[in-house]
Amino acid sequence: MTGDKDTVIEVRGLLSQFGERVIHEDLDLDVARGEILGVVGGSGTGKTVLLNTIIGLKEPDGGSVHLLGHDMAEATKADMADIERRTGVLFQQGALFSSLTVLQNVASPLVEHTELPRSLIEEIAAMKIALVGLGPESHHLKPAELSGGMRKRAGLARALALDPELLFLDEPTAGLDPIGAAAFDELIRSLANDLGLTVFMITHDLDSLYAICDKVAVLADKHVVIKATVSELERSDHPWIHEYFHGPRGRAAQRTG
Amino acid sequence: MATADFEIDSQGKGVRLRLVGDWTAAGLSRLRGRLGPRLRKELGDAPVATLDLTDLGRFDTTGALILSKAVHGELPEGAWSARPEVGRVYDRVHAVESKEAAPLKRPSALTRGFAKVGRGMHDIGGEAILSMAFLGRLITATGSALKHPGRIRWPAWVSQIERAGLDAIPIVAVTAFFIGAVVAFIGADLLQQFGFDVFAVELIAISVLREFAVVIAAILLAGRSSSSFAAEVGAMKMNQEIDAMQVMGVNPFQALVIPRLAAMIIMLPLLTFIAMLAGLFGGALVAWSQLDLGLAFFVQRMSVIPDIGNHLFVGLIKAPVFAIVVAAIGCRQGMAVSGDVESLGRRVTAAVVQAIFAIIFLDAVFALIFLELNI
Repeated sequence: MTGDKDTVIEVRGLLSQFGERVIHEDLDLDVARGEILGVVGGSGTGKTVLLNTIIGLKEPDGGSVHLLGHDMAEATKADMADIERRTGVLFQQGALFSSLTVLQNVASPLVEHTELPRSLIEEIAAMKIALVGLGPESHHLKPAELSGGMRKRAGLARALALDPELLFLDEPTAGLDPIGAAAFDELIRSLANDLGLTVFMITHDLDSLYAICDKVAVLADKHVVIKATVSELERSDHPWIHEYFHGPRGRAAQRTG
Repeated sequence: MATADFEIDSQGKGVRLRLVGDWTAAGLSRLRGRLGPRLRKELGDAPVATLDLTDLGRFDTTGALILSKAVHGELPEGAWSARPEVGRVYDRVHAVESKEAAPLKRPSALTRGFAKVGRGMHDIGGEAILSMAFLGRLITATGSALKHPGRIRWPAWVSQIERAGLDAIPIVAVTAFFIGAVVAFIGADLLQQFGFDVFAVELIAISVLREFAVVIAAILLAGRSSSSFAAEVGAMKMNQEIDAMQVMGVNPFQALVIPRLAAMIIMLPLLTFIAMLAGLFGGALVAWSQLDLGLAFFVQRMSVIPDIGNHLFVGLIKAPVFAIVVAAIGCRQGMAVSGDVESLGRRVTAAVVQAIFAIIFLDAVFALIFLELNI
């Protein structure tokens, strides 16, 4: 185990490439326990690649990733099971299993990782669904019957099923209307506070950064240029960050934020 | 990790509930969830006066749910003052728990069974109407394509001809070769017993030319192309590409269905012909090795079969009809895909099953017609 106990994600010297195309080079990132980290960057800077590398869907081409104290490169099956139990992921499109109902979707991690009786699992799943603000009428709907916002909420309920310490969100508010997005931000903030979650959140949404993120990591030039609070970033003179926060959308978010 | 447990102390003023160990999904999992019922039983209806948290380890929403259900949501004010962060988890769960309505009841298995049958019957009607609608749109699209040949998408035709036709040549030829060989083996064995070895040539030639070549080629294409048409068109439907075409004023029938249909109509007769040659070759090889009938003799014997041309014609005339069946059913099922992945799988399966069924059914109809016509 490296690093201190309160660093849940530790990325060192990460290299990611697809063929000749280098996505990340010498990328370092630390996420502390209890932190809500927003990850921003232009399209194609490899935000989702970074997420996939941290959660182990993609092998890094160089460098190391430590997740919850485990070195991902040397993780045994038991380590991976431990990581799976302690992390939850909300994918960009929700990634709900289309053949299962919402209740079955949320119950699936519990069925996989616990030995609780069926009835209790269903009670827990129903509670998680209520926790993310979906009504009981949604229990027996299939993902195809849900709206985009409901799908995100159901995905979040599934990500929270095992009470993870660490939550990964890939553009949680993309595709939601501003009111729905604000409500979703508020939901994540309050859940993270009450349940003591650490959140790694990829976003394009400036409002989300202002509303809920403790720290923001900016991906540019193939690595994390800076990791700081929003107010520090506003003063940054990096051209991309300056444009990001002082462009028309950034100014609008600052006024309301 | 300490196992979750509790102690109840009912001496003194009111009930004192002491929570011990890790009240988490993982911790409770080892007890197979028996903690909740036990707590409920031992606690009865007595209200909890104080909560002792000194030995409580981790506490997550699963633990909160079990506790909240067991105490009916009644805990004294300030019960969580020793561990405020745990109290927040509990309050959060308790808030949604008390709001929760009874979940929808699923109807009984019997009702669901009847509902399934009823829905199935209803769907048959709906499917028939949709198939007619598809046929109608296909005919108008074909008509307008013939009227404006300038608008035909030749590159799409060519690529479909390559993928659905040329690429299928090896599998069609090999399969037909083996079918011809099998027919020859069975024929040789049977006919030898009666001393009519030479009639094996007739058996092979007529069965391959009339039936096997075209049916094998059509069934292979039903498995190969009907499914890929349904999957391609279905994925485009799911991806809203078909909607995009419609909005741009591109008729999806012109752009997607007609090229596939044309490719099939052009290629299936050619594939049938290749299958005929391969089947005859397979049969001739077996006749040569098993019956000592030389290749030259096989060809010569075949050429004197009366009406050999008719048999060839009967085989080839069926090919375009089967081609329409394969392409139309594949595209029709693809167009019927709705938003979810499951319907894509169902439609692709339906495309293959229906196409194969239709081919065999139409083959029987052709056999009757040709019998009546004495061809």
